[in-house]
Amino acid sequence: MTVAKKENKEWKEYAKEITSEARFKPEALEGIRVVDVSIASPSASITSSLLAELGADVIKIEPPEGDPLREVSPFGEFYLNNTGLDFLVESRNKKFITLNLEKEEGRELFKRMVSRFDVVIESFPPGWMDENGIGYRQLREIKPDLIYLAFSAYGHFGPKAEELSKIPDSNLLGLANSGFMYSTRELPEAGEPYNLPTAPGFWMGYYLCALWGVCGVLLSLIYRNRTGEGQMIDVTSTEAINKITQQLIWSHAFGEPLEIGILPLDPAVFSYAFYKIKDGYAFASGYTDANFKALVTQIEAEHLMEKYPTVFDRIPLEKQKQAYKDVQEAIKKFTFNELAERMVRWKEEGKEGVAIYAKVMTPKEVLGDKFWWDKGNFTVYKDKRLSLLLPTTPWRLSESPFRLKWLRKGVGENNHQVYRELLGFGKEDLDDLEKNGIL
Amino acid sequence: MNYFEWTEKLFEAEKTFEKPEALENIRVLDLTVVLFGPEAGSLLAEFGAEVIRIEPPGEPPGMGDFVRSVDIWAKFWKETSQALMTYQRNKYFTSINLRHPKGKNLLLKLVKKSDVVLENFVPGTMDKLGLSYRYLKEVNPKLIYLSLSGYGQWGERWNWPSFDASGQAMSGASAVSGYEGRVPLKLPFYPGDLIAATAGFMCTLAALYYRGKTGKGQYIDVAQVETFPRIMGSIFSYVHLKGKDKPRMGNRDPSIAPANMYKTSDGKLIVISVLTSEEFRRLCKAMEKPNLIEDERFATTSARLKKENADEIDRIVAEWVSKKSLDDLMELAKRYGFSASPVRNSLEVYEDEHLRARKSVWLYDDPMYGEMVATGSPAKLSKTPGRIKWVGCPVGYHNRYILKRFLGLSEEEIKELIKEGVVVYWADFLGRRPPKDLNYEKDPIYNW
Repeated sequence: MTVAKKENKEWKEYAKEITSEARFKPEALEGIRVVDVSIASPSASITSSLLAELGADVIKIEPPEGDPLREVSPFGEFYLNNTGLDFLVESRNKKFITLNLEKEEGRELFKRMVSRFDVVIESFPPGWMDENGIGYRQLREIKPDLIYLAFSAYGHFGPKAEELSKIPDSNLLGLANSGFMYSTRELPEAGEPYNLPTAPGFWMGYYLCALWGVCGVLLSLIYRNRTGEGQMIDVTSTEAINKITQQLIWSHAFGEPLEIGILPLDPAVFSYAFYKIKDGYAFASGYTDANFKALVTQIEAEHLMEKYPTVFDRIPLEKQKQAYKDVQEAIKKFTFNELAERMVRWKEEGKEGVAIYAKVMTPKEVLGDKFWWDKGNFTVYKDKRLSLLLPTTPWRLSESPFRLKWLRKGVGENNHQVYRELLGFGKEDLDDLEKNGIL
Repeated sequence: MNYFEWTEKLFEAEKTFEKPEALENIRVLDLTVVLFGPEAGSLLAEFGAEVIRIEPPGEPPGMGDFVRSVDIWAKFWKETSQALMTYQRNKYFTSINLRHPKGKNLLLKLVKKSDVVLENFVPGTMDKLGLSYRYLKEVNPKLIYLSLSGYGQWGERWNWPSFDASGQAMSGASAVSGYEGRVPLKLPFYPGDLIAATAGFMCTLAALYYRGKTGKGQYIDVAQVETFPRIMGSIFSYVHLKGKDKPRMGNRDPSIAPANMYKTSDGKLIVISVLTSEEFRRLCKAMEKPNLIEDERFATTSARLKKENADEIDRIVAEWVSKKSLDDLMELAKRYGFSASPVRNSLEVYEDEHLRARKSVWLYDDPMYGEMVATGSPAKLSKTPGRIKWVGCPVGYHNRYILKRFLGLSEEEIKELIKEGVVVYWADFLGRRPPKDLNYEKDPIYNW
């Protein structure tokens, strides 16, 4: 079998050509209607953003007074049209309507629309939707192929699900309850608070939980396409984080727990650490023998190769502590550019092994780095009411890419359009519903 | 029926293996190495895709993926790398030399019969071999091709090598984590690999759904460095508006107050997090401080988040927590409904009966390693749950099964390919060979 020789274009040119433009391309989830009735759930909000960026028609249902998430913003600052930043950055491509699910009449309207929904996303305490007649058990009677995604702290089944059902999920809860946080701390000798459990400085729990929400919906859509059947999906942030701490759980099968905090070291590889360098901090890696040799040679500390010749001399904790100190001592004389030049020269000279360096950049430095702008990783979104920098969705699909279309609509801003489309309601109908506290 | 009895039946975790798989009949060729790529393949395999791992033969041949030399504390339990035992799940292990024309030919034949190709070599590597998307889509126009890399396939740093921590460093994720004045936090357990791998898995699912609808395949470019800003919420928006970096705050959260880790009266650690005013009211009731609900410094979320007010409520909660035991606090969280959790160590997670019943802590009997534990799939699907079947195998362990089943090769042809170094089995070396107590010579799948 032979494959025709392709045009002489370089690979990076070809890859750019097929992945850099999203507009005008088809949308993966075109024709899929997603209804997000979550309240105060960043995980649900992020999930419905990503589905909307994949082309789903996402309707966010808020209570008449609005989702309390609208108020969430760093230090309570920067309200743009009275909306917080955390809400704004995940208000992508959604329509916003109001509906009071606390009232029977609101729930009746919800049920009347369910046959038109493909996916429902909710974050109420497990059992609340069911108790009110709009849980998966009831909705699937109306719409048998419905996909129903529920976010909660401890899940909708399992021996403790009922007992813990009133506890709301949170970023910190997922990080603490999964074991991630316990092991994220410096060596005991660092002293408090540095040797105490530490959470990442961003919403890793909420975001990974949301990625799993999207995966659950996509898996269910694939299965529904094949069989016509819907299903329920149950996602918690604890379990999402637990999935990436698999190394921690696994070690118990062998009675070798990894409980101790060992930052800046690593239980499985050395060197794989951040160091103080002449102009800030840098990541320096070289953990196989050849790569470690490349690293210590480039930082002019070849004697360390004799001191730590194999992985068995570098990885065990006490040896690694000393090795870290030795590498730190050698690397602190260099600036990042000097390290990067050595890395490149090494490669050009065709020497064995690869040392990898990366500069520890702050967000401000990242925003000043041309790389991200050339790649379109950030955009300054502008419309008649709003101007805001935000990260774009960076995962590039050549045929049916993610894309940002609009941000932020006001509370109930799309009521007229959505209720007319789904229920044929006119202005008077909506005025009545509003008066009665339903919208 | 009580709701939780009903959901117990709906999800019936114990009957996972009696349920269908979402990705049944999807065949994946997994050409990845180390962790980032392998994890994406494993996630597909957990939901039922048939994942054929095509491992580079290594140097010398039979050494395979160099990650086989990596292990926690260099212990090598059962003579195997932990990287194999956790990040390689439910896959068939083959090793084919793609630099040999006959090896490349075998791959092209497999591509014809497959749905997805995964790779995470330095960008451009597959193109030089004539195995990049632009070549393989000619062989199989419906192909979905996922490339995972450090900085993406194009742009200024397109061919830079990268690891998980490069992503953490270059994106700002580490710089915002930990405490001022300390070495920035290198987040453990390789989130730069594993979160970006989850994103790659997610994109592959979107592409599979799109293909189901239109018959069209596509190319996907997922980069670990680029993944972080998207999962860092409003941080970049904030920094852009303020023109300066946000301070590192340990366990505090600028968008949630109170939110922190606190010490209990019995010397344990708890996290408490209050996102909305409603949740704040519940906490105040639990604290028996109803006056705080009306206090204008705390009554609204925006007021609570102002720095001085956030500091004050943090102090109030810390003081309250310091007088209560962890058990009492968790009782109050259950009763009043605010977000709280003990800061658990991995043994507590491992022994958690709730997570075991939900198959998130997954105990099983591995065909090669015996009693093992893995983490289950976080998306609990009532009809098509994910599942763990087995983990990483020696280099080339399933060569015969795959080459006979899909390409119809004869025993003689396979022997010839082995002799020519096209098809490779493990070297007799730590991390590559089968565990000592395994009688692989009698394993039917090895002998296929």
